[in-house]
Amino acid sequence: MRCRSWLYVSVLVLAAGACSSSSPPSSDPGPTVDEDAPAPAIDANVADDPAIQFAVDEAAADSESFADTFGLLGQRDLIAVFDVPDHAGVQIVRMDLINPQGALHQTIWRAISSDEDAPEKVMHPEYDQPLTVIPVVPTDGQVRMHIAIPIAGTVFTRFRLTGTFTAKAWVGMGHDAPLATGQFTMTR
Amino acid sequence: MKIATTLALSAATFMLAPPAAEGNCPDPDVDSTITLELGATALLPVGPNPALGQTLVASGNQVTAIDTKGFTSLGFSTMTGTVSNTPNPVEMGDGSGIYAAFIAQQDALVTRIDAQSMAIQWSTPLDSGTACGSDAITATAAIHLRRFATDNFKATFPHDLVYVATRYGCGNTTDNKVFALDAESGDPVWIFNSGGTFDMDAVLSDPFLDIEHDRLYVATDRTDPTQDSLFAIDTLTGNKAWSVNVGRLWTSPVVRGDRIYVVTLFGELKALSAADGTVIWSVANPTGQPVTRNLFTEFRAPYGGLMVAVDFAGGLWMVRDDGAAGITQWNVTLPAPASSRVAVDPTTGKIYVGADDGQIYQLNLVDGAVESSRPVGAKMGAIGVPTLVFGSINPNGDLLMMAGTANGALGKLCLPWTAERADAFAPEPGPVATAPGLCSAASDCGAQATQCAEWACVDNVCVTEPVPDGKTCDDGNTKTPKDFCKSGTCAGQSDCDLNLDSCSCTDATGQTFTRTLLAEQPTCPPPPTGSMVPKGDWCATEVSRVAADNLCLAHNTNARSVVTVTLMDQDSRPFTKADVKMTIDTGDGGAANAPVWIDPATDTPLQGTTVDITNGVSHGVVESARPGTYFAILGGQKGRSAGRAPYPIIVTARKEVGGVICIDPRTEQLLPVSVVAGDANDVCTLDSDTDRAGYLRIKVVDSIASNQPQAGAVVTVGHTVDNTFFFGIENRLIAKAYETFLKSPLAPDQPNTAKTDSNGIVEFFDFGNEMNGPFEVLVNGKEACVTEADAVIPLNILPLPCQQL
Repeated sequence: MRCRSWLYVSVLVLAAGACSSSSPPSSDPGPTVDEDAPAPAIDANVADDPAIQFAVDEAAADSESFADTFGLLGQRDLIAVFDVPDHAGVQIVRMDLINPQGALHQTIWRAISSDEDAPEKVMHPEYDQPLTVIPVVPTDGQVRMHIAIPIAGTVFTRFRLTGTFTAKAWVGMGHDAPLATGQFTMTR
Repeated sequence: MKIATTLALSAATFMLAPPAAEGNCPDPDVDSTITLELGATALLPVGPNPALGQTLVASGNQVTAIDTKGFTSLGFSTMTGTVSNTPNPVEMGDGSGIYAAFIAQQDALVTRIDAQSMAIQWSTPLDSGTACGSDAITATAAIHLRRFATDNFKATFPHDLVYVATRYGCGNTTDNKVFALDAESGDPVWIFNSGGTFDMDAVLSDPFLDIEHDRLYVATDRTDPTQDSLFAIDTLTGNKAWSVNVGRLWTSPVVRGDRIYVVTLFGELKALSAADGTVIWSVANPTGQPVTRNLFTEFRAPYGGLMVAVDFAGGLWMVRDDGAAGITQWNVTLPAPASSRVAVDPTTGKIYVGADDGQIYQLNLVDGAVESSRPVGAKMGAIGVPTLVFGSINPNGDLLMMAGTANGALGKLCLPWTAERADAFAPEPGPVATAPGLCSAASDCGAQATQCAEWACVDNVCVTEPVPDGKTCDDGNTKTPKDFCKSGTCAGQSDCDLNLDSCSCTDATGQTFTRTLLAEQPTCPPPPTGSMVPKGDWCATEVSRVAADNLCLAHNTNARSVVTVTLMDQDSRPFTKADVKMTIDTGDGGAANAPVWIDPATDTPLQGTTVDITNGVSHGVVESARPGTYFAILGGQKGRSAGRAPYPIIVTARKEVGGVICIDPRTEQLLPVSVVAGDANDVCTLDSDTDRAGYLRIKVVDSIASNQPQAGAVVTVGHTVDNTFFFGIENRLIAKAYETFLKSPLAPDQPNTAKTDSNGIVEFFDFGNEMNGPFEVLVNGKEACVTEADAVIPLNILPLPCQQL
């Protein structure tokens, strides 16, 4: 995978060293799975991080009507909400979902910018694909992220995945400790 | 002349003598699961590429190329968005050996990758342009390959096309689009609903491409109940052909012949006309559960019209399209809820489905019985869609299956597995429901559901529960003056049902029939397929039905043949001893063919089973039948002497018992017949006349998908002995002319050849008592088997039931 260097100089400030990594983050198999361990219900470490909270739709997210348990057929997307510090330029935000068995479920990437002259698209620093830059408005130096986790029509509903999922978010490529974490439970 | 090797023959050979070469499948019953760790959720079906010996696997945001034989990773490509679809590799262009896969991503990108190098070749963003971060694509792209396309398509487009449908976010439920992209550049060729004029909600499932008619069928969710949810698009222009509102669709439409099959979120399976979307029939999941997983349709020979859905509770539901209606064949609940949709191996008639307990289960397609299971790896967790990989591993034609897991493992297993037939896994009917929805209490579901069912809220889903049987109701049919509730539905009783002693009666459709005695020519109508027999003395009618259709037949073409007979008690009352007798007349097959009836509950011969041999005729008689499924195992030897077939199964019963389903083991088709009912003093038996057992009707079509009849196809029929094709059937062949049906009388030791008529039909009559199936058939000089689909030849043969004149 080649690493492009245009359009996201500011990203690289936050994600220093990302392009020199020989091991792309998405090939990281994720946390080691204890085959004999039961599915984690609550991760004690999660509570120590700034929380990622979850809402049933954008309106609920806007009104901060958060919940931690959702029915699989109850919404099209689940909205993950958390704050990230605002910086100049385009920032890359990564959010991983870990499934109840402890394996990586999916990774969601977003490109955000509060700059008025930010480009519409940037290339992902490591993967040869474009990211749409989402305009954001910071408040007190913080940007409130709304990241939609597609539920309806995805493997969640096609395979009726239930249990407690863990979300971890980073600004940058995700090599450091997560910026925020949270958990939600999917039920039938 | 050498006989073509069919898939079935290959499978049978494989089962009898598993090849040891290459070490892939020395014994499928030995735990041969090989697991590869991928690191992220891998539930989607895999994409085998037999030409390259590779398989593409999606896991999380990554697509990995696996060496199918060695089961090692060859390379991967990582996407910015989660991979939403099966990475099916396709050979592009004019078959130049260039393979590509098209990846739909949850960040609204569609990407072409080189299926060998795994390099990204292009990515096209298909977001709504509003910087909405939740625009997505979750449907697999449909690939329109020019080399298989119509002349009109080739004249219109210089390259292959890729169709991708959107799943827009941020509350956009009306402006979704379908893009046709140039497969070489990724540039849009046309955009359906570019202006938002068609009020199109999100596409959650894969479009279906009908390449023969240049139609693309796209199913959508439906936020507004007035929105259309199924769109037919002209692929030449990108214009709408028609659209209809058939309910919320989270699953893909499937086109077979001139019909489209869809299953709604609320568990209604519908058959629609492909011409205009008109609903032909609709049937509700008896369990009342929603359906969010794609339907599996099995229209390949020897089956036909079968559809299997996995509902939201993880139960399996099979429906058969009998032309006029969708008939629920069975519902099955596995020991753990099914997590995936199913895969079917038509050569063995086995269904495979993953479950939440980390196992893949093997079921019998015909009756849904759970036969065996295997784990995928050592970890627990949901299992993804099993994918069957035929003959790509080694020259022995091993059948392998691959399936991923929620925790990122990929398993490879050998098939098939010996049936264990655990009684605890037997299919059971679920609660009756007709129109489920979502709820938190029964009051959310509305008023009385139907005359015969009330709403209940189970697991946040509205289901209907039947009112007590016997409550009066009205089915709206004036031809059925007396109706009552039975198992949640309003059962109409026609004159034919009520006036059992009358020599003539009017049925529920208004037709008048005459009942006659057993020995006379019957004229009463047969009961609907799979239905119960009405109470009363229908002796003559039912005997005539068995005789007329000759459906209950046993075949003994292998060393041991198993015939399944399911008895149904219409009033759920246990049969008592001597209520039912089942007999197989094996002709002069002698003791080697003597059938033994087995009770699957105990796996032992049934109590009361008798086998006597008199005058060279073997009989296996069951005298202690009760509701359930029984198996008759026929002994004998493979070969002509033991291969005399068909053997008529004679089912006799006293009146007021239920129905019988017989399974033809040669075709494994469901062959519903009705019980032969009589009274206590006059037990009726079928007078089988094997001398007239040879009515063979063959339909030749251009393809299974099109179901278009091929007129003028040259069909030759004969049979095989030691892999040699004989046109005639020895000197004992009897050719008789039947005045209204005669198309081509057979002649002894002559090529029995005829051309199909305008409906693609050719009929042969009376092979006499030398009818040793299965018959072999030549179509346009190419070999095929009437009971098997032969993928080698361009023509397909749909087996129709052999009938006795």
